[in-house]
Amino acid sequence: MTTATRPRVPRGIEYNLGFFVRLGLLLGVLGGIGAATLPAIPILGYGLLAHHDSITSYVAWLFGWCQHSELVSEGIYGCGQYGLPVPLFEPAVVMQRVLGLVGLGRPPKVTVDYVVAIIASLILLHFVVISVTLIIYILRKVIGYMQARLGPMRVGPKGILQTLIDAVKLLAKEDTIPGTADKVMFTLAPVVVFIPALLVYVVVPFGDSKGFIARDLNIGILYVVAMSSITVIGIILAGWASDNKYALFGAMRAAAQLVSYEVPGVLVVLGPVIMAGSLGMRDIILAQKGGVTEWFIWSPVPLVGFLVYLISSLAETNITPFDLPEAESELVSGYNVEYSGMKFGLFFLAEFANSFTVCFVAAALFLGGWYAPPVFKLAAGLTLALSVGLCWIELPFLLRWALAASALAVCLGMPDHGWGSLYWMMLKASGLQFLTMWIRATYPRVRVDQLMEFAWKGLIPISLVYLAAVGLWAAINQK
Amino acid sequence: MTNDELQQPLADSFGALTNLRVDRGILIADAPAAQLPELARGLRDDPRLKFNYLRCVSGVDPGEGKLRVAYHFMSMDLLHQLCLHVNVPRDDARIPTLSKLWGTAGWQEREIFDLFGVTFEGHADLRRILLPEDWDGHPLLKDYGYHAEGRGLFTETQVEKGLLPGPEEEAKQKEKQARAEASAAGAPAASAAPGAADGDAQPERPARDPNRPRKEPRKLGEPPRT
Amino acid sequence: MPKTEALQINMGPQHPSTHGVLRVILQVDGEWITSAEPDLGYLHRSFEKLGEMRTYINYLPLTDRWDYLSAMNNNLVYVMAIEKLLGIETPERCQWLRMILSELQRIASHLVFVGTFGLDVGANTPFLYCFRDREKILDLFEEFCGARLTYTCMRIGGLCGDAPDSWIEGVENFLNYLPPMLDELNALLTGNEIFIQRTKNVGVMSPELAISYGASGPFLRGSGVKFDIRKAQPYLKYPEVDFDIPVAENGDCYDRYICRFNEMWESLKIVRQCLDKLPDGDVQAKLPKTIKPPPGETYTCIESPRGELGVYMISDGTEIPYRLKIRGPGFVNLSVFPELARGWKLADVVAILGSVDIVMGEVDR
Repeated sequence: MTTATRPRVPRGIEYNLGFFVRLGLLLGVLGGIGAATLPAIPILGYGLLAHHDSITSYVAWLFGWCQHSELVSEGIYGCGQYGLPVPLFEPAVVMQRVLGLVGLGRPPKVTVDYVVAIIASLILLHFVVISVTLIIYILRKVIGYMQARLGPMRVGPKGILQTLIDAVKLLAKEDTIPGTADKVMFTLAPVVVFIPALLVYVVVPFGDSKGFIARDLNIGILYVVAMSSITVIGIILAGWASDNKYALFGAMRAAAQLVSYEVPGVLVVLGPVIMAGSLGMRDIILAQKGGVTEWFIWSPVPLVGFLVYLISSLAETNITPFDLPEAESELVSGYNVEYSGMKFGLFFLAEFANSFTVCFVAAALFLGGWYAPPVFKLAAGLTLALSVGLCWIELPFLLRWALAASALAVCLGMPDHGWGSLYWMMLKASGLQFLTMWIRATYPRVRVDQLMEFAWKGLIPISLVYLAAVGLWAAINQK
Repeated sequence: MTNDELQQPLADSFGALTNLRVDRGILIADAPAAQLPELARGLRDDPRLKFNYLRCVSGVDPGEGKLRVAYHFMSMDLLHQLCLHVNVPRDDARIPTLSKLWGTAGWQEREIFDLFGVTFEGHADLRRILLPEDWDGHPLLKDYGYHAEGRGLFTETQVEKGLLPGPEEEAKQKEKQARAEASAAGAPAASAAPGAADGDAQPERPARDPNRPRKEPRKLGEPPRT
Repeated sequence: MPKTEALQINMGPQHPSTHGVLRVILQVDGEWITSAEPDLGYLHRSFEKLGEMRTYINYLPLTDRWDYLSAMNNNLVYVMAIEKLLGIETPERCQWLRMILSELQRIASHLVFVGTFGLDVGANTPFLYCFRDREKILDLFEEFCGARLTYTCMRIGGLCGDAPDSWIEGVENFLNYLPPMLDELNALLTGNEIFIQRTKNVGVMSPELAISYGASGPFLRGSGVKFDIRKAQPYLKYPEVDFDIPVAENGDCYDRYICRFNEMWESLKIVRQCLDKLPDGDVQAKLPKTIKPPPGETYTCIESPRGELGVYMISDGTEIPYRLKIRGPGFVNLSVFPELARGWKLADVVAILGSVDIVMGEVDR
């Protein structure tokens, strides 16, 4: 045989300048976010413990601006109690001194709003990134266990670091743009898809206090729906700018699917809005006070609204059985086929962030938000305990059931105000997220025309009937 | 119907079939190329025969200046089979197509065209199916020379890179072999296989050392020797 | 007035759904397919030419590579052709064991079909369940002949070795293990509303079209034609075993899937009967020192999981075949595909291609 020289094949990651630049960027961004928000968390927590009504009043107190009586009478800052013992240092005094040095005695309200906005958005970004990381890992593990296999196991103990390493891998990849693609649109598309996914979190209520919601807009749910619609534009941009037939196909399918399924989703969401009499998220949850029977999943028309909302949001966020735009076995990944590296990562970040948001919104609208009546506490506790005890077979028997018992105890004991409300909200959202993962593992994919048929001939009539029924009920009961 | 019972209706209605014989349980007949479509249609429509299933269309290179296409028919209802051999001269290998009667003949005839070079007249889409479109030559012919013919895109590149001998070198190798064979007077041919040793530019293996003991093969269930 | 243009899409040789290296050139008008032409030859390894250059025994390992998902059947048809040419009969025990191996291989191949068909349609989970069950069969094969995919197990005149008692027990355990798993797969796929919607009335093939295009196996039986080589031209000991041939009426993808699924149940029945009737004795017939069949030709065919796998072998009296033609069921079944795919949507093309159940090794040879 001829002894031709073999070409040199690089093994593993190529450590060149581009890799280190991107790694530095990743670490810098993560470090920056961490540095910015990690101190914010205990500060925020302390502020909430101090029973401030909102981040605004807390920041105002922090900077020592509340102490001015005219601001209290203006009612702008809405200060609650202050003067609680400061643990280590007096941030208010320090801030005042620092700002005094710089020459800013008492900045105008608009600066406070900016500071509040920056802190809140950093906290939300932190939350989104960490929750998506966890969700992706849990998704792979859950689907793995449902498919009689283990899921990620190698990277870190039990594969915990898998998503982080995937992020590093995506950053280390070459950022290719097809030669004939529209460069500006190509780069813009993932941004247009990701940013709205992040923006929706502004009105999501994580708990009962005003400190748990970044901005309790009085058009809360309308804002959620509006932001979710912008994703379609990003997907179409991605498909068109890639200059690839498969991508275009995926984008066309996605546009048809997302636009069709928005209609039943929005119609059904109006049910809780009518019952609560307000578009604001907190108001809708407050209207479900008083027991499991008050929840909007049962209240006027049982289950219809919730199921229609769940199905249409599965379709909105491209989850199997509605993941045609990314159908792997047909169009080899659809609209994001030409994307590599972090742009690709942003698409997936957006998809998972969206899916988690939808779970929060569904929990808020239909499952009573942060309220946990005793019946529900028992049911949730038992479900959690049994699933940990029966399914988590990696752990030894005693440890497993000890964890199950402690889960039951926690659920029964957790109050539903204050930090407890955060617990219940997260529990409900995570339960719904697990349900979507379960559906993802089970069902085959629906074909495009069957999808459209189902939306227009199935879900929309049902949601119209539902809306009419709720409206009738509300009119009769004059709620 | 058994093969004996089949001979009668075939002799009656299909006189064009000659040389009926049974080989290893299958009835074989020779058919002339020109009348093949009518014969096949008759075989299919005859209620005693009902050969509605064209199983296999194969090309054979029997040498002696001809090419042969063998059609295997079967009846799904009456469960008997028949094989037709159609012989055509090698330099004028044309057979009327059966693809209008059976859809399966479409691809199978394309394959025979690809590998043997038999042209099927009346075929709607006669082009190469397994080999690339720009391939030269028909590989399953017995006198197919691997490197001289069939140069597609890849053989050219390999010659350029020096991984395959080019046509001049092959001619030289062939000369050397012819001289070696002529000098070994009276020695029988290396093997009956056509083309078995042509073109393999491999070095000679050293002869087996008679003093080295042979190892017995391991039996099923025995543990492996370490 | 704006005109729409037909788009030419290449479902290229590298594609998650084309079951190997198959290139399909699609002409698409919106989502509707106007033409679907397969382009073969990416896996053409010139098996037929190699057959003219190797002795009968030397060629045997190559037969595994034709249809690598059901290699036992490839071995079987090749070895049966040589035995027919030589005119020798294999002993009883060998024939029963060959039947067991062949039917177990049929179950393994159909499990792969069910898994990959589900995957084509979008269901990710049954694929893994099928492969987990297939592992049990592959473990049995490994215990018997040492290999998991390319066995070279059937030899001329017999088998590579005899089956120890522990292996027979293993087969019995497997026969008890599989039925609940098949029920689970049934629940996951067959009864699933979305699966039925994706496959019912999709890619309908009439029986006349099927027979004209030479379709065979479950592909043919899905259209209502009750034709199975095991009953029509029996080989081995199939006449002495009691089994049914699943046939369906409509000829759509769902029916073909049902045919193959039910064939797994029938294979379980056959293996159970074989185990009951398995005699003792030798597994290897007496062979001459060199395999030199007398000159002549034969066409031997068996029912492989994909259809009618046939070998047309011409011997010229030497120890090397003169012509070895392989009639691959995938090649012939795939020729109908352009007719079936026309007029359907892009997503249906994948379902139809999946229901043909091809393995490129035997399509391209």
